[in-house]
Amino acid sequence: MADLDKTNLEQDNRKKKTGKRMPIWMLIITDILLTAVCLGIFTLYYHVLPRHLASDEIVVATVGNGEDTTFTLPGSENTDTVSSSDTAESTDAAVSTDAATSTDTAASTDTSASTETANTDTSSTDTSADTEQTNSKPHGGNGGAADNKNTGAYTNYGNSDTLDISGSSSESDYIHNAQKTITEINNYSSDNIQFTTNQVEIGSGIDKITYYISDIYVTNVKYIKSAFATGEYGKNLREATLKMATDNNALLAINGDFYGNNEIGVVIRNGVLYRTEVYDADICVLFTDGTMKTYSPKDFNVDDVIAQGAWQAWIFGPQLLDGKGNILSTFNSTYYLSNKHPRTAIGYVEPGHYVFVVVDGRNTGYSRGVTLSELGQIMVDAGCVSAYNLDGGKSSAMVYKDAYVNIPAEGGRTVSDIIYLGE
Amino acid sequence: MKRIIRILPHITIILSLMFITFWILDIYNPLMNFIGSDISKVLLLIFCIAALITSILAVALDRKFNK
Repeated sequence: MADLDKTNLEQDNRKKKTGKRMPIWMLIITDILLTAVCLGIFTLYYHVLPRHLASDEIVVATVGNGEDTTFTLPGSENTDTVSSSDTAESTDAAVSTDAATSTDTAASTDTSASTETANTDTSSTDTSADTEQTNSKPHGGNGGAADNKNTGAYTNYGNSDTLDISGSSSESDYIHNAQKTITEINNYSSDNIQFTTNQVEIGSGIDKITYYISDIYVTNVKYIKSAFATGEYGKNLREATLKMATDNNALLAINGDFYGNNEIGVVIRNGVLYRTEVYDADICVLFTDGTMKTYSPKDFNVDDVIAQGAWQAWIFGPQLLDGKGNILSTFNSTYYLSNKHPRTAIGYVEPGHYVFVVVDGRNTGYSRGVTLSELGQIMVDAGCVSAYNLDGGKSSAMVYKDAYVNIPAEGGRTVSDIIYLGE
Repeated sequence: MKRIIRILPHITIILSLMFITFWILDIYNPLMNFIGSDISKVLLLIFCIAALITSILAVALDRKFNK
């Protein structure tokens, strides 16, 4: 009895020392709330707060020093090109706004289409005599590949997180066989750059697809440039495609690969190497000789592409075609990315001839978006032998002379880089 | 010391819930690299240490209780 009293007394003393305990339900809620706070802090730091990334910024290729491969523009012997202006009315009718999201870009697109279709610039702005170096670091190379091919070690992360998503021939057939309404939106012609942008509409109602395709010819790859948001290389640095295009005097611009979303992935811009890590995504490389190739992670070797003269390298993917104009049967992607989305893609026909495509989406009645197979077919129909999917969704945007050409989904979003044409 | 011992299981719970969230997000968008990032690796290390200490304490307490 005395022992029992002693035990009870000890327990009472222990309770008095420790105080009132939190009930279990409160403990659970506290842990869940703390988890949410930690997730929020992680997201804020990793995906929101902008920060500059350290990089050696090795110049691996230069162009514009007289030893480049140059190409001839179609009809280059006749510089007096004239565009018809009667597309203005059909353009306004084609860009229906009754199903469009309410964004300021809709108005600017109509304005752009109605006033720019007759624009032709034949002034000579050829700067081929000047060394085109968009990076401030000096380089003593002779054009093409840099003399210094030692880029240091890089890690091949392999292909473990993305999947081989099967393509669909029925989807690509739908695009190929569908009746298309094509409206010229703009065109541009100078001694060095020529492009025509068309709006293409397929289907109707909930199945309607609207995309914008620019058929581009350049005399030198130096006119296909890349720009970073805020002009600096870093993570979570973002600006609107329109602002970057304006800041860089872009004639035509599309969003890039959103390199700033990650700290890994090959980044080569305007001949400057920023990072070399390969991870699960396919890679697209534009070379100084005008060729463009796409690679799976296991087939990619950064030293090899630098030796061949890599001018630009993008990391988003997947690659859409096999290099011979055939759509791939499987895509290195994820289930989410393989659904119908707004898309941006770059295509390669032959050296000096490229294609930019932006497909609008998430806008019922105007454009539903496309799958990867459908996008592949769009690129095949445009004559591409290689094509590469860039960042899409709300990022998909095309800008022509300081105005959006397309209607970015859900108001668009700021992105970390653009691809543009500039003299 | 006692306070640390009491907090450790909660740290383990929070980090495990975070990594479950990362794992689910990674299924939908592996390109965002939630699990493979440098920060995630540090969190994983903390998670493993917390889980290790918590488990050792749990085993020790269980043996003491059963004595």
